Amino acid sequence: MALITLRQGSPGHRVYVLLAWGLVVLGLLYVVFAHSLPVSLFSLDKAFRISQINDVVCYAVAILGLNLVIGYSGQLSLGQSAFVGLGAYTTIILVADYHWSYYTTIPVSATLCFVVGLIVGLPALRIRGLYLAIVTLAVAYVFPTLVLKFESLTGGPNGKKPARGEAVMKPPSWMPFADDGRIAGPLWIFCVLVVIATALFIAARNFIKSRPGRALVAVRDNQTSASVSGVNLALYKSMAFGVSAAFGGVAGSMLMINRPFASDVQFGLNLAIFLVVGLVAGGAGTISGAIPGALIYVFVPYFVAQWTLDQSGMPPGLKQITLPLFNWLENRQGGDAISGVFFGLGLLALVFLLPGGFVSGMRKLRARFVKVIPNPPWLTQVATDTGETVEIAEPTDVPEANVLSS
Amino acid sequence: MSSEPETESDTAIASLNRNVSSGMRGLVKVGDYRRVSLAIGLVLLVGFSIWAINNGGSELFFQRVFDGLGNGFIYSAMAIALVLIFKATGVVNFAQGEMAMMGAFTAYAIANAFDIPGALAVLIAMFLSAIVAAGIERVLLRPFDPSNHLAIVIVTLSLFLILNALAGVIWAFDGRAMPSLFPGRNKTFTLLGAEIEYADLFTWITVLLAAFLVTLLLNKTKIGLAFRAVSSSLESSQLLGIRIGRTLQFGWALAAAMGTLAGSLVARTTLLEPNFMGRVLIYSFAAATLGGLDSLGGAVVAGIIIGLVQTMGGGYVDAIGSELAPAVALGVIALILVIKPSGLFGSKRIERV
Repeated sequence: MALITLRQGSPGHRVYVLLAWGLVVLGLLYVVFAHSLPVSLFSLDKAFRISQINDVVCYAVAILGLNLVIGYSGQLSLGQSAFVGLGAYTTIILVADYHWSYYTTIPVSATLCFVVGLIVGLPALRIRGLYLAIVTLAVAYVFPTLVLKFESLTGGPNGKKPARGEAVMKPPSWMPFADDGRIAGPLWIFCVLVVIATALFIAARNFIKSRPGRALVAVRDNQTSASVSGVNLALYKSMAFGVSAAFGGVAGSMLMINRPFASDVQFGLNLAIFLVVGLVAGGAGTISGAIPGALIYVFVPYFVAQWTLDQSGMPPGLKQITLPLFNWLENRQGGDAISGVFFGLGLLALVFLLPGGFVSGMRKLRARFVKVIPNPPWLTQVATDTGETVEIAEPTDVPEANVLSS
Repeated sequence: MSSEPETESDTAIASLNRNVSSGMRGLVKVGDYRRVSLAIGLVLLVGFSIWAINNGGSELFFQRVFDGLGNGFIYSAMAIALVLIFKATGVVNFAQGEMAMMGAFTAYAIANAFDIPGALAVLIAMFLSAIVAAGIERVLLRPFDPSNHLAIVIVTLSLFLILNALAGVIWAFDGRAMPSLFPGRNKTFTLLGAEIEYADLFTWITVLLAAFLVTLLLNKTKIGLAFRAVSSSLESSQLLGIRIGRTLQFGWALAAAMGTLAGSLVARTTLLEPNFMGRVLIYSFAAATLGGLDSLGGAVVAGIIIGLVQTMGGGYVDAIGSELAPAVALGVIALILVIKPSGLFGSKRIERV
């Protein structure tokens, strides 16, 4: 039994929701001000850690976009890395060669990726399931080869970056941390990226709650019956691909704001696979799952690799158990690769222990303490197409059979 | 949903929808006219061959054909392994390439440790990898509901990561030479002006033989019958008393043995290192998909097609070159799949609501 039971919309529930959002805002503020506090957990006073957190924000947007296709419209797409790469190259080329500002490149890469996503999504009208997965995997595989082919535009294997000293994001002087040395740049980028990401998360939430979003979920749950109910399959499937690609493109632009350097190896099959892994680890079909997914994608491989090289940063209990293994690995040539084994094992553990991903695990945990009872539909007002609001009448005498069949 | 289009945008969407769906119906028709599309394909093929022979001479043409065939047969072998697992579990095994890599490394280790001929070592490695794959199926796959595809995909992805890293830890990342599998090393013969290694010929024969044996196993034995029943309908075969778990285990074991064979054949032409199957795997995915994910014969034919498209496209069209060859090969597949969504030889599935 839950400790607290709250009715949706009651003052208690409002306080609870405000508390939850307050915690999120507090966490973000902590990241910004941690370097000026006497104790900063998680080495938040280092510039590189802030850069990593910026990466998390960017990948969260990419995973959010992927979620629209995989989690909500139920089509296994593995090509997100190509769109992230396309967005990144659009931004970096416009910034480095045409001297645009980073902000103005974001709409361009979003539009470009939307169009390309629509085109890539066209086969999805005919191809389904794993056939589609393979076709999109091919897109992910081909993208780096295209980057290498058009070397004059993309810099080929040397990568592409703006000229030294050009296009550096500097915090405006009114920001409290503007004079804090090396960390000021990454922190300002953090603020910018969080604003963009927040806007995109709200957009995704609204997209899912609106008519196209409901249509997508209907397509996911049963394509045939969705089509029978009047959902235009061609329109909504390609729209899902386009919107998802646009999110991926913006994520790519954001990555370039954080680290203005693009190369073909960044956006290869590895990224494609890890984005799907992050999605499933965070929770497919949930908006908030993108954040734990991105955290897992950025930090788990990093810490595993870190601990493989140097066991001093490891939690104490783990250290004693694994020390003989690391001593044995010390003298082996390919010993560093062990981090990959650990990451794979961690992933396996996750699928076995939290099959619905991190978010569903947290929800189960929360349900032990807080229970929220949704309002019955007749207490809510519904807006009709003509703009008036109508209250759904409370059913007075509903026959038992009708309730069951609805 | 309103039944009548009311506003201008609604009408526009409706007409767009009509256009798109009539276009789609057209595509479906192309897929249905099998003879016509076969004839068109043949005419294009003959035209290309004449152009190519005119352009670069017949020797170069046949050399490229045989090179393409060589690649193609390798893709076919891997595609057969993929198809077996697809029929068993309904998912594509992303770890197939790494399983093949581990198998090839095992063959290498056995050949070196006991100083036995390469071919025998490969046979032993095939047997060992079949046992290990059966174990993997029992421990990692069976706990999941077979219809939970996303979870199984993630399991195979983590297997991919684990096996790749494990091979790095055991054998490090510097390339090693695979012991030769066939007699007559580096000896060649000439056919139609093209030079072919005897070992290549043996590779083709081995793949065809293996494909034939797998077909025989599936069509003439009891476990093969059970396997076909399970892949056709899981629930009905469960009702008939077929032991689902063991049958799927058989599929994994067979696929792993086939993968080990393919991996060893690939390793013959390149160096053995933990990432050497990556490129092959992409093309074999493509081959398995193009042939129809549940058709063994389709996998063989499609593997050869892809090998040929890759070598010919890259070789003859300068704009494509070797860099864009994968892009063209994969683009062709996407196009064919748009026309025939369940591959060239795959069975169509009809869904009920």
